[in-house]
Amino acid sequence: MDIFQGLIYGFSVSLQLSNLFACLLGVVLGTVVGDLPGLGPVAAIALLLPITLKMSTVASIIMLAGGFYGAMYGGSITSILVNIPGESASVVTCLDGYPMAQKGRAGPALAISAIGSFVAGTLSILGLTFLGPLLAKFALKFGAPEFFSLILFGLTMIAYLTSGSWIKAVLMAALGLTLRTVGADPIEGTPRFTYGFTSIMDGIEITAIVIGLFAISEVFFNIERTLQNREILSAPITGLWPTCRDLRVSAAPIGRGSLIGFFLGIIPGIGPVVPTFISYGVEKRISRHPERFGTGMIEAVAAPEAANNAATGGSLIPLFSLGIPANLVMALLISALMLHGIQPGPLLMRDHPEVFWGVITSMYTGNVFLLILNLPLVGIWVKILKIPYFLLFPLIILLCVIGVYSVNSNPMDIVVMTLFGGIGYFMRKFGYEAAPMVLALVLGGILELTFRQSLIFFRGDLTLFFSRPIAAIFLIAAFLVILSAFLPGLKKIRSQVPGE
Amino acid sequence: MRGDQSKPSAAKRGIFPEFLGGLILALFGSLVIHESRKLALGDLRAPGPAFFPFLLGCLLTIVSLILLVGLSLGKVESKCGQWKGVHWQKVILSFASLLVYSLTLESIGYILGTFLLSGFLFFLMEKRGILLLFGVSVLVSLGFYVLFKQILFIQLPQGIIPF
Repeated sequence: MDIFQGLIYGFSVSLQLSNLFACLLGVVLGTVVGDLPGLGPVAAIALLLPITLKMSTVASIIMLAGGFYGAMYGGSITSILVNIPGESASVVTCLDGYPMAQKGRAGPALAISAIGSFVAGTLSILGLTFLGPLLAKFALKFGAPEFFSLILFGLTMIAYLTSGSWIKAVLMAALGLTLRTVGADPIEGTPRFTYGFTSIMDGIEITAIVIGLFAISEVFFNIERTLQNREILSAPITGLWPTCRDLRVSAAPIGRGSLIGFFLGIIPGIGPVVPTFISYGVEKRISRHPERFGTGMIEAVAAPEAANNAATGGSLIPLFSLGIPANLVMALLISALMLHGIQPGPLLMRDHPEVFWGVITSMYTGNVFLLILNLPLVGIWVKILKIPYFLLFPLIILLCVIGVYSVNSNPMDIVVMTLFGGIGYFMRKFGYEAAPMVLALVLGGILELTFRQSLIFFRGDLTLFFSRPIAAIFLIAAFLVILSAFLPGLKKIRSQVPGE
Repeated sequence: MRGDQSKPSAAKRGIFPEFLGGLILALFGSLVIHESRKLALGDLRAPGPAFFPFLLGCLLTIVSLILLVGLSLGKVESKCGQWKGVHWQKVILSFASLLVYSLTLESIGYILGTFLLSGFLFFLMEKRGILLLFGVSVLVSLGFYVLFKQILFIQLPQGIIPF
């Protein structure tokens, strides 16, 4: 099936009424969750997961993907109206989005955010459409050493890019890998660290750990302080549409942001946060008025928003073509695919074309839904922000409980979620990032398998990794990333990037 | 000597909780090494089931020790200041209630369990009128039950309420 046949087939799948509804529901619920301060795409996917369990695989992944980019847009709303980023990728949007809102230009800021997201999202899907199948074909040549070195590089990148101490990030990645070794050995099937509990022979339930570490610990972290009511713009949002001048000055930044976001999004470990910072920096550098950045410049909202959404399409490329999650959200999508019995990777396009092309084409319609829905519904998103905390936090906990329980109907999963909620709370207090741990948990199984297969294949000679060009490139890249952690200049830049 | 005077001691910097965290990780790494030795380690040519966990145990222990040394010398930033002026008791109570809920869910059932948990959590978040909290808790537990059990067909434990 070539690309155009694939697209036609994909649209025939994604335009089925049930799949269209799944897409719409994912986009709307994702925006609602992303709209809530502190909850981002990870929480959105975790909370959507139980709803998808009774759905077909295609509809499930379409809905979860919709939840992802819906949550990305929802995060921008809180950044602009409340000056609280819904998730890390929206931090930069606060810098000029909130000042725009203070000047009475919340409408154009929200509109340009939606338009920038739509354009970038569409461009990145185009890139995904053409690059995804090419990379999948290329990845068929990958053997165990190539996969091992690529995953090692991805883990190194995510440990490097976390906001806190890199020593703690390495510790978290090692802890995630260790937890993944619980259960049957991937080669010989020998039980490891199960201590007679047959329920963990297949390993610890990742969904419970992720929801505990992200959603529950977030709630715990928020309820420990006396939260004041959020200062939300009380004035009605008028003049929603941007002016011709707004559109003209935003066009090029949206294009640049899309390119930066898409290509950086492909690199494992980068995620959507770094592209937003880089695109903001690029716009500031090439602007004729860099001194006005931070005072409400519309192009400073447009570019990072575009980069943020373009990274979404970019990050789907390694997921669909290599089976490697580029970031945390993709790691959750892998878990969702596996729950439906599908192994993502180079063979996904051949074995499950309905999933591959159906999800890709659903993103075109999903972006149209976002554009159509978000602008007229701005008033509703603002109302959601006004839900009192005393209602909001217990509701999030109860949704998490349902989400975790519904996977296996096993109350022990709620215990695991609660314990990791507590662990996640302490991790936050002590500056340990959860992202390296979760990504290591998801990738740990394949990392161990490919490492051991490579050792057997190379008869124990580790230097033979460097006899394979692709493996050598990723290993050298990983080594350079580790080395750069010790360079003072890069250390400073790294400390300024917030974690995922 | 001047350098020593300019750097406050670990105790003065209040890093002991964080030091304890590093120590727990180091001990956990050592435990992984110890437990791995009960399985076949193999060698580089034919790595056994314990090979990967053993390496990870070593990595955890070594990096934790580096962290501990870094904390002692003040090279790693401590985050312990975040404990001041916060309601950590609320966190402990939420954690405990959720744990009790998960352990009793199957026996008392979803509706009653969720009613009690949500009522307790609403009360914990903000002291409001008892009737309001009761009403909201009933609505939430029944609403969730109808949405997830009746509409989305998710299996929920019945417990002592026979529907």
